[in-house]
Amino acid sequence: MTNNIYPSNEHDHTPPDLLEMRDAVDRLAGSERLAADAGLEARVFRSSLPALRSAGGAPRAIRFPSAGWWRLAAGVALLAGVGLMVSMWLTSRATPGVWTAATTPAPIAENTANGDDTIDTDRLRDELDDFLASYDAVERADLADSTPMTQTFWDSDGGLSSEEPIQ
Amino acid sequence: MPDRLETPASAAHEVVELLARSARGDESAWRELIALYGRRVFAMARSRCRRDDVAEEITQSVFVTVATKFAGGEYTEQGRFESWLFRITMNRVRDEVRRQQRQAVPTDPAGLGGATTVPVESIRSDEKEIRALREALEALAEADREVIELRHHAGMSFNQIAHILSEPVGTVLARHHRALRKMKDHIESMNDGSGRRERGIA
Repeated sequence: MTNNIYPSNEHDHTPPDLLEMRDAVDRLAGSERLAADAGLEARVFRSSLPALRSAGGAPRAIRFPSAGWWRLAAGVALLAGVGLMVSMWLTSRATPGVWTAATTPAPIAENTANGDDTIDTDRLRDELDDFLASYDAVERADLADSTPMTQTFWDSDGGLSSEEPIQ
Repeated sequence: MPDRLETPASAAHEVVELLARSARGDESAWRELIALYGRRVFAMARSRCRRDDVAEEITQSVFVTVATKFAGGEYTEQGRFESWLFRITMNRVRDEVRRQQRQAVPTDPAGLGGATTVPVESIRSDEKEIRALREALEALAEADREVIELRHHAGMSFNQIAHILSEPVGTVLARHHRALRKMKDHIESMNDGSGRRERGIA
């Protein structure tokens, strides 16, 4: 091993009478470097590792500033979504007659006459009565056409007699 | 003993890749980076503090700082990682030296160099050389010593040192030569045998 570790291609202009002293100082420095036991590097590594591990996080956060843009975009999307929902709610609420300064509420009678979205309770009740009447009629007809299962099964041709035990 | 003390020039591309991966939290890249620079940081700290535990504490602190800067996205690769790393190291070392000076108690200058517990007769010749060099280094002025440590312990180019110290390259080169010469003179004076301790430590 050489004792000098500085750039060997660098001419230091050392006078000839000092070359021996220069080499001696190199030997001194070499002895200082080798004075530590073999575990020096491992101990330095262990002691500095926590700081290095924190180094694995912070620079990445700095190197990817788009994370901030992602957060901003998410915020904008959230606000847009909320705004859309609010506007839809207001629109659906305002369709029968949004109470604005520019809108005069129409009389109820007029609304009824225009009548697409108002409920005619009398007509609804009549329709319901008609439906129930027709439903009863159908049900009665079904019951009249039907035969009780017990009778069909036990007494039809080829069926089992109610007295005959099951083999 | 791990030997990952590659020259910055040969490792330049690898370092750029390691830095990019480490900044993304790649643990294997971070381990490689520590293997590449850990001992250089440690050497700078140990050269000044003269205690292995303090030098290791500074080393860990420096790398935690680097990892934390990565975490905050505060580091931008501009080919100056080493300058940045060793500037952090230099500041940590200065803080520690100031702290030690505040808590300093009178001590025997001969004890500087961290070898007071080693019996003299057991010291090999290369160890004697290392001790003499340490004494010579510690005798330097602060500015000269920093240049020596950044150059030889951290393994930086003169351009990088000039950048860290905010001085022209020529000034750094001149200071490096001056520091080497002072060290040489210091060691020669110690080798004279007379007044070694008296003249050794400034």
